[in-house]
Amino acid sequence: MQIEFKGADYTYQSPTISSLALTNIDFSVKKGEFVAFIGPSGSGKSTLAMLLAGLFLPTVGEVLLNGEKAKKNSVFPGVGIVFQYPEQQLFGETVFEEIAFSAKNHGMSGAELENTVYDALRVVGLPLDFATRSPFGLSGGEKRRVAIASVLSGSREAMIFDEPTAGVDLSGQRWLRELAIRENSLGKTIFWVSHNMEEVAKLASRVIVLNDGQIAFDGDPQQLFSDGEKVAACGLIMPKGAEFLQKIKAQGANIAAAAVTLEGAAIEAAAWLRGDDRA
Amino acid sequence: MIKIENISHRYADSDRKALSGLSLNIEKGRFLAIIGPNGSGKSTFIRHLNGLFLPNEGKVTVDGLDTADEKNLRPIREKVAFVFQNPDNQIVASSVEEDIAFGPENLGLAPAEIDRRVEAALAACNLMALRDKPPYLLSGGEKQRLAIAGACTMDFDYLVLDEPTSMLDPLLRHQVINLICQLHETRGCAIVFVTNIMEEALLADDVLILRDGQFFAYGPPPEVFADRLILEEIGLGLPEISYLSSLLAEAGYPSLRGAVSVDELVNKTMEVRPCK
Repeated sequence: MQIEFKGADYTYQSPTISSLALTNIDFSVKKGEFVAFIGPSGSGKSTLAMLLAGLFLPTVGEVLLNGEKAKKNSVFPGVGIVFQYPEQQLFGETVFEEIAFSAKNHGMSGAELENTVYDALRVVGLPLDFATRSPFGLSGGEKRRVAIASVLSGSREAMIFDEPTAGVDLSGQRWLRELAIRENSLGKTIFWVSHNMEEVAKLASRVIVLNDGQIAFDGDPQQLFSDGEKVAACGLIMPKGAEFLQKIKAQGANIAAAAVTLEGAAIEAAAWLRGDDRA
Repeated sequence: MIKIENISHRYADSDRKALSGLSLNIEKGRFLAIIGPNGSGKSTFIRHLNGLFLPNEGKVTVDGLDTADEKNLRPIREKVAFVFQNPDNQIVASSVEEDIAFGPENLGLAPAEIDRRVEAALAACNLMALRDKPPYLLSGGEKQRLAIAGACTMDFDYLVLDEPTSMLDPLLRHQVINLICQLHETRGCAIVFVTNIMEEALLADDVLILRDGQFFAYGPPPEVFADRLILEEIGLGLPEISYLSSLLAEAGYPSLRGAVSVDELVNKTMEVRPCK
């Protein structure tokens, strides 16, 4: 699977206004990458997620999945999107139907469909007897799991998460991150839209920064986050661990200041405190 | 002072106590953040502060007025303003300005006084440019500022907010938090706010952690956030800088525990190993 953006623009059109949300977006992502999208509010991240899913078509340029353009009013086959409040995307009468929906759309039926649905329930940690219940009678956290199971069942190639951990408590955040890591290790491409620098530094092997509708950086998260000037130029703030290391370095500490996560920063700073100098 | 004396609360449809045996004094001018896992009783607790809920056991008084006495409710609600989590639940009028005027109109104030209060609230909450807009056209952050502006027309001494930033993105969250800090400073009122964002709790004088309807911890942020292991056990994270500080303490540098800002942690680190 390969997704390619070639000089893509996206403009929101309404009778009274037209507003250019993305300008000249160029990148390509190979199968199995874990790509984070970050950027200030209003920089175009969610719009980009919609283009990645094939839900929006670019107003200029092209977005291609395996060389093919998205069709109008459909999504890219094999690509699933988890919206910011996934519980808002529920509509099925039973949990089974809810989860089966996208798999059916991709042509699954019979025993294969059943297996896919029950597998998805297992992956999100819900009891199998939930299949016959109404999704609307579940708790908020359970609804979220059902919505994610439904995306899982129809996304064999790639999953897009649009700020999935916003408003979720610590254990829910951990669960979501572990789920994404697991799906990635099984070969799925993961796109992760986030506001949280720490999360991006921990998870992603590649980060694409959007600023004012344009790509401001595309590369290794460590390379970005260890460079204060670059981070500021992208309109972002440093992850706290990287900021801490840069500041003790500025105070004269002989330290590489290479780590960008909190855990990495703690290890690097503790080594320096023990007398381990490295330029 | 809001005095909470050994209160318990049980919902009619439940046999479990939502709150049990809580006592706390909230003095005028204090800035208190309340955190806790889902279902720990945060919203139930703050609804006792202005008599929206009454305790099944124990007593709450606001400047000496018992919330259980119905004739006290009006003076109590003038002293204790309440902002709900979802601003849509408390926006009633068809323009920003009318919505802000709703409270003082209900108090039966003179028109000149209503105008004065509305203008002041518009200015304090940075809503001047939006005064004629219908509320449904506002962004999430603007709506939340409108809900706070409505409260600002009252001469309150205590402002209680239930997760005022949970529905906002980081930029809008920042605006709302700034507004709350500014109100605290200029009015000298007490602030009690529930949040699930640990970084916000760092701004408070004191942090109260609820768990299963009881107080799990109470104290200034450096104390409450000193040990990540204690909070992780109840499913809560630390503010990022407190987490880093806790990791360094565990690595053998106990003097680095309890930092609440990057600069504080940098200074503490340089004390352990000074550089020229």
